[in-house]
Amino acid sequence: MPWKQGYTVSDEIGLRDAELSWPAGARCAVQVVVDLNVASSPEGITAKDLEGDAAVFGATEGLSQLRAVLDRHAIRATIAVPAVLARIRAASVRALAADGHEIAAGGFKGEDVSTLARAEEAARLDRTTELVAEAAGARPWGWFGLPRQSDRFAGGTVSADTIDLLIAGGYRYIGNGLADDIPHYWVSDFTARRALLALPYYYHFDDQWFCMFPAKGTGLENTDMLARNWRAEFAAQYGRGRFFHMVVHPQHIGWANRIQALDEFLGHLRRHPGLWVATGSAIAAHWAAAHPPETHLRLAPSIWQDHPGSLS
Amino acid sequence: MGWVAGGIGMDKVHFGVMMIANLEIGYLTPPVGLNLFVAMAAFKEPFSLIVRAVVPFIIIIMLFWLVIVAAWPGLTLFFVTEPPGTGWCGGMSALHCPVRTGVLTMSDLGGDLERLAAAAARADAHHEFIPRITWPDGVRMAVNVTLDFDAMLLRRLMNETPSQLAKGEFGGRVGIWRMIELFDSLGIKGTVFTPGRIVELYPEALRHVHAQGHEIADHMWEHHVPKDAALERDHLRKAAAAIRSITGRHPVGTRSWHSQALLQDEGFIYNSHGHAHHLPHYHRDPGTGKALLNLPFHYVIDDAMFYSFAWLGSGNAAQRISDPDRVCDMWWDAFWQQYQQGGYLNVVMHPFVSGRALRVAMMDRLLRRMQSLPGVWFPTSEELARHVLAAHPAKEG
Repeated sequence: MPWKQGYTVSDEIGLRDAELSWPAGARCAVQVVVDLNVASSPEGITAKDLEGDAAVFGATEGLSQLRAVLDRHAIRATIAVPAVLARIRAASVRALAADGHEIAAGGFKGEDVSTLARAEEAARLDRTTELVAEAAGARPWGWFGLPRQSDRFAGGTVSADTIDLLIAGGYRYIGNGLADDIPHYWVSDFTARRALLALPYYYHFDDQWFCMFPAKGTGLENTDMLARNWRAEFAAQYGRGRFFHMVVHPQHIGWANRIQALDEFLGHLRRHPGLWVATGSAIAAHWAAAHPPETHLRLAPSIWQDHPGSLS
Repeated sequence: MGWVAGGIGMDKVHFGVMMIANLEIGYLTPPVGLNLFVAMAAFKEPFSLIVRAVVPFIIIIMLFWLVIVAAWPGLTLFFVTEPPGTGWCGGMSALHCPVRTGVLTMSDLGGDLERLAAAAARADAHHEFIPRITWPDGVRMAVNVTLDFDAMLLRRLMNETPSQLAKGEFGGRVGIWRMIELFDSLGIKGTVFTPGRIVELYPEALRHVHAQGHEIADHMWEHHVPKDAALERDHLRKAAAAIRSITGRHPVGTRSWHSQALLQDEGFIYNSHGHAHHLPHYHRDPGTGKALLNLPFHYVIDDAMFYSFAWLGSGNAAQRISDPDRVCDMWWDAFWQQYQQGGYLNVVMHPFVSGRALRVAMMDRLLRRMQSLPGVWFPTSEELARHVLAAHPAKEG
């Protein structure tokens, strides 16, 4: 078996704290992602999803509350927009772009791509790029396949072809990286060293797993835990000089007690000097210059062997 | 005849139905089946015609009815028993389930008592505890910090999504290095339980673990134990060989579900799983009579319980994912309770979980607080095992 295909997506050892550098001597990078996906199932956004109170709140007041808080703390966020919402909520997307946020693609309708045939996935990807470009006024450089609240795994949706298709589609990063807590390369072909930059995602910093109420049948309102996770991770990563990221959804974080928690956390974050708060594209551009794959993707030959009676 | 059914492990209702079915076949079977003569008299037909006419039905009854009734007890017991959660009304509440267990069966109370007493006796015979454990001079309490370095292997074994694999990959690329850096900064020796396959995926990290003086122990070749005995031995030997390629010596510890006889045959001196006692204790193999030392851990002191999404199949509306402050308090309480008793704590961490920056910071805080008390010993699991084996050997088997 060549390399460790089927087991790993990146190289054997991640970059250490001392190897990192941020623009203008900043101490720590910060990325805030706003996911507009309201899909409740793997098929993606349905009519029923859009008619629910959560989606209506998220598209209207929830989003306004969130924009106001981001604005108050001068946070330029990266917005993951499913293509169907780029069309349906085009005015909101334009307003977000005008605020200085980056508009990225969030799938055609926030669906699970892992079960699609390659041609179908490619067609959806192309159409998504067009629709998001139309709404935002510029093509998206980033792609997010973030998980939905009902998913069995909280890692997001990526097929065996996704990375290859994104590279072919001109994308510069994917926002689904779980193999590191800093940007890292997601390799689609180890022999050819074909790779796309992955920006970190980790579910402990994503509001939807702690603010599930009022999803049917749950009473999971753990906004306090979410806030403690944000604070603990930010403190640790700031201390190490690394990268802090978080994901919020207007339909979840926009509600009274939760938006208050976000407001307080961002205020706390902003009291730290030396932060580089950046959008996905700005991070990708910095990474391409400071940590290019030619020098920073360190693929060593595999010692993996196939054995009868073992996994291959 | 109840004791006959009980003796062959058959439900008494099932046994009764089988007996009636066999009697019925007997009534129809030539040349002396009673019902053949009844039919001959009732229809006024010759005996030979009745016999010829009945033969196909006997075959049908024997082939289908008897075989199906015998092989499928659930058919007979449909209205009688309700296996918990799996029966036809499994999942329904008691209020909605129209037929309740035991309506038609007579309980064998004496038999129940005997079977349960035997099970408890087997469990007692399997465990041998150390009532008053002693530690080396100056030690009040022992703490094993252990890492289950399985990265993405279990996710791969369960054929999960690329994101799940990447979540585990964090443990190999980042987490393991940070955990070792943490232990080294505190002068603590840890034990890394690793599947053999992980040695092939992350040899550099494991060489570093060994070079820094931490123990590398077995965690199964591919994080599972094959059912076939020969393949099981093959897997265990492959895992040991993989570890030997890093450390130059045969591992003596394991955290696995391998059969105890095999482990002892292959030179292992301790296993680390289960929680029948706070303190290290022995498991006696009923087959060989030999005892193997166990270094217990409890899921309460396992990072994956509180930080890993969907761990052990927890549903989304029942997520246990928590925050480091809460876990730190819980683990400190566990430590403090054992510290007062002069006991033992095994802290189980996964590099893909605890290697995240916020949790490394939490462990740094927690371990420093433990170290601030006098007499807390942080040996490798092997070092601790050798002390217990020498100071508190198992009784002769």
